[in-house]
Amino acid sequence: MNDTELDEMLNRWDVKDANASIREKVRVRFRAEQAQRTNRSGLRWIVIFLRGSGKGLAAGVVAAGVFLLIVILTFPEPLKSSQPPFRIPWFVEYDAVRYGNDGLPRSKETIMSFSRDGKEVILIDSDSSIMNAVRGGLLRLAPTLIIPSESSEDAAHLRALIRNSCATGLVIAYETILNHLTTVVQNTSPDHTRTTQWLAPDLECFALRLTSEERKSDGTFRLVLRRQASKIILTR
Amino acid sequence: MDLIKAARRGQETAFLQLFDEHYSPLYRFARRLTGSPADAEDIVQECFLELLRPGCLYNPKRTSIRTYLFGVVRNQSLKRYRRREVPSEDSPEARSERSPESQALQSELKGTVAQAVAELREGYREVLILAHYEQMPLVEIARVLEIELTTVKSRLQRARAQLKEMLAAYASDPETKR
Repeated sequence: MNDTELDEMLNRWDVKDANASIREKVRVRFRAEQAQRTNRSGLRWIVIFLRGSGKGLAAGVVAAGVFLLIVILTFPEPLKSSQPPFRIPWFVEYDAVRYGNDGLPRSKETIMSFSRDGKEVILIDSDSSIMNAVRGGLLRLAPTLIIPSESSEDAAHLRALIRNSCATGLVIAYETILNHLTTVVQNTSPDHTRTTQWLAPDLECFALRLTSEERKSDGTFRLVLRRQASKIILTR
Repeated sequence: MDLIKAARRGQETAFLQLFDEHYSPLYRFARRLTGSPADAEDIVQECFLELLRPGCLYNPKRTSIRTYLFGVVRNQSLKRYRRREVPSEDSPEARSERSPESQALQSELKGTVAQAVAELREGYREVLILAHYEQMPLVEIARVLEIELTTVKSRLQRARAQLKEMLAAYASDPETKR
């Protein structure tokens, strides 16, 4: 075989371009990183401001701190948090596509969220940048405002559900998504909406895929919404 | 460099412009090295986000952004390639196994070439991919891989020689030449 023949043969191995959604995904992640950095730099600016604003203000800040300390010591219960610090163990990145009456996609969002005691907490939603910034700030400064408080009732319910392989409705199959085994559960509500969820027991029954369908007059179903996890990021 | 500065200041348009300019060859490179589209996507995203982080080692005085990004993608890809025990869904191994007899010969040949490249030694494989598929000058490959130019040349020569041996049977088959 000569060099030309080898080159010709090597050229047979072409690879497809990246999926078009890669740009949206990296954009969402860029925003998430920016939100974190904004919070950090916010604190830095406060320090710089305090340093540069003279003794009078510094004295005022110290006085306010002492006052706050007295309040905390006098009335500890309402101010102290009874919860241990919570760390997000994992989060899921997924695409959510809404479909119109003609069956064509109408809108698409990329969302990052995780679960706390079975309740979904959205971290980033590509559709609402202002809300993302607010949410990102609150997550760092006052996480309890965003993250649902731990409830022993919810936790017990979730544990029972996980023991039952997340069977929250009619189990129609078991499938593996992104290396996580899921239980495929289907529920039909009285208003004729059929929801199918792929729930992962090892991720607190989080839905790695979800479809919502509407029953049409002829008895068939029309897809309204489809959520599909594209990535699971473990933080531990 | 201005784009990187702007992206680090939080300008999304600058970040996306940087991404648009470079992601395609980086993705192809990662895809060929790992054999997995999902891993390749992940690696490429991560390498761009890495640029924004405070600990980023990129120094524009030492190297171009393209060379730096290829280096990051190469390191990340090799880590994943070594870690993965089971061939991914898209890997040449899996593809050739699942190919039914009826599958088009051209498609099989593509899988065979991919498999042959995957079987090259680690240092040879990356040089071959960068030189042949990305048409990267040998001097730049030396910078990406942080090795001597002479080493790049000898690895490329050996990689090609090995591939000639591995693929010799297919070259002599007139069916594959169509």
